[in-house]
Amino acid sequence: MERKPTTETRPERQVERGATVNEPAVWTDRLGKRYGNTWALRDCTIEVPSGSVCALLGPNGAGKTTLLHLLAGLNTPSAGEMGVFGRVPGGDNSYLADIGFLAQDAPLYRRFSVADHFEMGMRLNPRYDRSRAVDRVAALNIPLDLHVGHLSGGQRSQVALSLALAKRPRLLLLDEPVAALDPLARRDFIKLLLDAVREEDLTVIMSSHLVSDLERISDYVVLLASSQVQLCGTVASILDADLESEVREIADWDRTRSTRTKTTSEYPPSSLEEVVLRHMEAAVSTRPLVQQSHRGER
Amino acid sequence: MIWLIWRQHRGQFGIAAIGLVALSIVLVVSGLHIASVYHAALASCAQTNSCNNLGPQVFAGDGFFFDLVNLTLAVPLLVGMFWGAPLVAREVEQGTNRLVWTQTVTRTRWLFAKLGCVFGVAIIWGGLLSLIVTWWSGPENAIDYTRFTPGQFDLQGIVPLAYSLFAVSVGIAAGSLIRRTIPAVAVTVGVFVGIRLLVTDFVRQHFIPPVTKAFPVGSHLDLVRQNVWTLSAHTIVRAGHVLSHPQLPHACRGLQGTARYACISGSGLRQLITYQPGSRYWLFQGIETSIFLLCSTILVIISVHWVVRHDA
Repeated sequence: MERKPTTETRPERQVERGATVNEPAVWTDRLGKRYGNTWALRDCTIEVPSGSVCALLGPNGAGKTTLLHLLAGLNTPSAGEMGVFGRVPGGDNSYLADIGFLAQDAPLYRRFSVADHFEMGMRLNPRYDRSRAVDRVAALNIPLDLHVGHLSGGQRSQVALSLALAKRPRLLLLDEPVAALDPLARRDFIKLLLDAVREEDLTVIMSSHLVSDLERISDYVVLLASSQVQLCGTVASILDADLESEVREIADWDRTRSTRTKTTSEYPPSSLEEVVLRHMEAAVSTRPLVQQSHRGER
Repeated sequence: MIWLIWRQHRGQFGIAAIGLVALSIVLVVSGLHIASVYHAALASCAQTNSCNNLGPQVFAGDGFFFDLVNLTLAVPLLVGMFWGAPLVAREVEQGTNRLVWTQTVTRTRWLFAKLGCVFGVAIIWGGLLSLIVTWWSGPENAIDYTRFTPGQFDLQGIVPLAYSLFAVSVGIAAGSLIRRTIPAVAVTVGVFVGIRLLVTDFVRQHFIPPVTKAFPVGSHLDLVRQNVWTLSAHTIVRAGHVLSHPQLPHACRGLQGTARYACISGSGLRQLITYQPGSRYWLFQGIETSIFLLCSTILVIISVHWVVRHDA
């Protein structure tokens, strides 16, 4: 697939950390994936700035896993284009070396010990940092010689994350990494991730259907619902935009009911969770319409 | 990759190695025993000129080993079920394909490494076992002249190797396309057994048109001694008319041995025998091997395309 040079089509943009970048770490343009007659992902156009921690939110079945699989080069798109660090995601070695992928449920070889997994990473990846991975796991008191089948869910996730991080990826893709974890394991996992983000030049996209999981740690949000992008932007810009629209809405409502008009400062700002939920609701309520229009196109 | 495959399958390698060694020991020991009994019998019968019917004498009490050798017909199937079918299917089932396919190894390389390993196992198992069974069957071939007949043909020579490779290919293809281990194993059994029966019972006899000739009654044994594969035998009268219920001519009743056969021939009865000459044995082995290797190649190409192109 021939890709347009992105530097011409993508304007310079200011990201929240203040860095000016010419090209986002990840972009997609009307990306779509169809399984049989069903679009798992449709018209997905997003940009994720380099160095950000992006929360990929959405209800179950919204297309989050599909998008992550496309970016990981595991699946090929049915429509649209995408780029990651100026390359087209695919199964070639130079691309695979740049991404770390933690699939849903953190799949590991059950009969391998933790050390076996690191040995595998060492042998299958060019710039693998095994000692770092070993340190990370040792710091979490996970015995290296234990078979992963005997680890707890939280430990498994941590091993899988350490395995992915030791690959020294530029883009780390995490599919529902904390969904199955108890609150304590969740906190440890997030800490491990944040430490890595602080230490290394890493862009992270992690999906979840729970906003609260990612609200504290992400600075960028992509919301998928009904196989389409509902929101894409920095957390701050989304909250600002929401606040404005909400104020406008309530002000309109107020105007019809009372004589007094409130100002922006009189409304408490929404949390990201509220905003996201509102957009999910809106997406779900319009879903029949969306599906009808799809059917019409076919 | 080699380290990963070894680490992943070392248990299977161990079981396969132990199984092969155990089976080899049993066959070699029993084979040596049968061979020594056979040569002793040959030496003693030569003196009394009674070497025509050594079977019951030589093979007495060896029923277990014959059953065991016949059971090796199933070995290719086992390799297909336990090595071929889970190769891709188990990874997909446990989600580990998403782990290993996002390491810095292309899916093609991963798959070819795995294919190399499993085909290696199939070649070693299939080849070594076939060698031993062929050697083991030496006395049986010499006494019963059955190496060309279905059942024996499938156990000896080079075809067992082709069956092993074919079974593994069926397993890999089924596992790649179905992506679930148990259904893939079931399909492997069905397809392998189905194709094998089809070829053995319906296709093999037509590799080359068989020879049909009329023989004097009683001379069949001479033909059998040439290691032929007899496809059919009918009794005909001289005009070529096939008798559905041949009866012993009245004149020949009461006669014994060669006198009886001479009498039957004199009465005009003949045996019409359709057979594949023994000289075609290795040609048939080659044709059958080629067929199964071709099928394997096609299945492997399909599997590789499917795994590399298909979504994880």
